[in-house]
Amino acid sequence: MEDLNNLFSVGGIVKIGGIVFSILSLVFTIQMYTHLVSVTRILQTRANEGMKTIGKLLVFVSALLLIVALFLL
Amino acid sequence: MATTEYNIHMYTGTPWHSTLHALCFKPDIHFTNQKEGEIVLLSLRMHPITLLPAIFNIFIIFILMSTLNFIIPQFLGWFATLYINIFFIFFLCIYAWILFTNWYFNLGIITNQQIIDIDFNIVLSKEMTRTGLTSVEDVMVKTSGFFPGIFNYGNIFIQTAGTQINTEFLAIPRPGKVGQIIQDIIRQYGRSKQPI
Repeated sequence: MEDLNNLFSVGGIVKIGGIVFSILSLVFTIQMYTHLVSVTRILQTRANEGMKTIGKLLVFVSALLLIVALFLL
Repeated sequence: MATTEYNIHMYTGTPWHSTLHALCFKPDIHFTNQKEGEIVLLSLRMHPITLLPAIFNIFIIFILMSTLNFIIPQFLGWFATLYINIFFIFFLCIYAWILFTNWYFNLGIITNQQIIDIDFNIVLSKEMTRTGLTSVEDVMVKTSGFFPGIFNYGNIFIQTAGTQINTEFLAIPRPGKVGQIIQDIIRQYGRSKQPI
């Protein structure tokens, strides 16, 4: 019962919100990255490699955030 | 041949760009199914000033969050505040990234053989429309409104013959000049089908 109370305290809701947000952002950034890769196949510009690197970085950061959020729960 | 700032001759014209690469002449761009001897003469993106409302949104949200940082720690403590801030900054980064990629890959390309319109949305869709230069009937330039008048951007409508889809490039910088370049390209490469 005490665990349940802790989970639904303000701090607990913030932590659960962090997990939900990080899962959503991970799915979202992976989807963005795949879409970006597909468009860079159609259109080749000098900035493509840089764009893909930033896309990968966003996926990496969102995965990192998910790990941190799970660790803090 | 008359020497102009945008000499459209395939081999002698000098590349140039304007308005933060929203308008590029002979850019270093290649695309799938590019034919042999096909040269990209012009690439068009929306005027960067059209991103200003979204950048303003980011700024306002950032200011709002910074203000909330004085209130939230009183209820949640510093650790939860830091936690929320990290997620929030990441959210803003993703928002800015979506804005930039949508601007960067929403591109109009004019080659010596065809006109290509790429409509890209990093979240939802991508669409590529091609029109042969020989199918172009008319090029219409339209600038209307307060900000387009001040910052010199407008829409370019390319009407095609028959059932082919009409192409439109929206909020293009220096639309008068771009319209003139497109008409020159069509005159040189479209009607005669002979590269000069």
